[in-house]
Amino acid sequence: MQIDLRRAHRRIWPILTLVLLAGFLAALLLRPTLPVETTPVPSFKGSADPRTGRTG
Amino acid sequence: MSVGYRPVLWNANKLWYDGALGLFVGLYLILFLRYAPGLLESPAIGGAELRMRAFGSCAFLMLTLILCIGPLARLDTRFLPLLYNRRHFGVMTFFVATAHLWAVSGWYLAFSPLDPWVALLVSNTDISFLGFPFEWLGMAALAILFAMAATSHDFWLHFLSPPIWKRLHMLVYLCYGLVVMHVSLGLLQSETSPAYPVMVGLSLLVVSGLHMMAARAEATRDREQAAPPVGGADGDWVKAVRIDALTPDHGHTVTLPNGERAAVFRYGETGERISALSNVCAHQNGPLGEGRMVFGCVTCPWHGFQYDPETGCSPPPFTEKVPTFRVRRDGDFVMIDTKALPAGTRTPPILLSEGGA
Repeated sequence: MQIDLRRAHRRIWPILTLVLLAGFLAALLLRPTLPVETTPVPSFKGSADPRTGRTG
Repeated sequence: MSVGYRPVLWNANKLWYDGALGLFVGLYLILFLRYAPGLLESPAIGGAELRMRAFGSCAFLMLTLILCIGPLARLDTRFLPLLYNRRHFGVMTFFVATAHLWAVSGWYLAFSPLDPWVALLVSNTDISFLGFPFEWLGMAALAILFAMAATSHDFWLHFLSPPIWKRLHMLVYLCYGLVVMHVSLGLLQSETSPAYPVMVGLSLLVVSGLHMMAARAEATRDREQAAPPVGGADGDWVKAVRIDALTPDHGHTVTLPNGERAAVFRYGETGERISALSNVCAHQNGPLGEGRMVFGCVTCPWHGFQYDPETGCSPPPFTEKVPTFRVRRDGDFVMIDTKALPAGTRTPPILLSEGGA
């Protein structure tokens, strides 16, 4: 059992590292130049926007 | 089918460990909420988003630290004390990650006409790479953390059996991967401060670097400890180790030709007995060969589970058993039969006094 786990560790990490590095770098390099503003899900009409306090 | 009741055995170590963890989490959150707006956030964000990021980054940091403990303990035994109660660390990480979800749902989803949980899963339906619903990745990671926290007690370890329990808890690697992509496709797409990408990149480098270093060190150790087979009429014997290389009451690990490891112990009042048993502790697969003899029993360095060196059985009332190996003496060497005997099988030790050592 221990040998299986050791082999699993040795197999998993090189692959996981490559996949995660690729995903992380792709997400960084491909992201839009201008920051995308995160917004809440549209509110009910008439309720106050928690950021601005404005209604409507 | 019935199961035995296993109470939580609190001791001073566990209380200190949990106290230190709680202090760390509290300090981190206070410092983040106090100083992050000026150092990390660009543009400045409001309190609700700040809380979200405080809990989220804290959980990410804790997950990073948890994943570092295993390889660090394999590289240097001084890190073993961190391993003893690693499960407590994991459970607390789950709670901090849940607080992150609570902060998220209270901000992004509270104003949706939909149920917040439905909104969480359906508000983003883009399946392109950058637009991928990173929320799903976070939810999947949290589900894994929950499964691990819920089964963290020894009851589940015995109920599921160590092999299944260990494999279930190896899902932490998948969880880490999901969290890295959750952050990369979520926060990093909207945040212009370099601090967050640097944090994630560093975490990736440290976690994967340590795991690969530990794997390399173990492969080297396996080669160095490899015992060459010599054959024999009644089994496959290997010349395991020189007798004078064994330190009384300390373990010595031998890598057998099939890749498994045996733990060889020299013990007795004058160090006159030598036995070998499996290197794999029945509790959580801890390395018995790195343990010591305590009160006449082989003692696992991870959680202190004990075994009689001649039978591989835990002393009563405990019922754990590990496989044993036949041993014999050949001049100055300990020979081991590579065929492990069934767990709990008594096998005679080498008696050095009889061999004229």
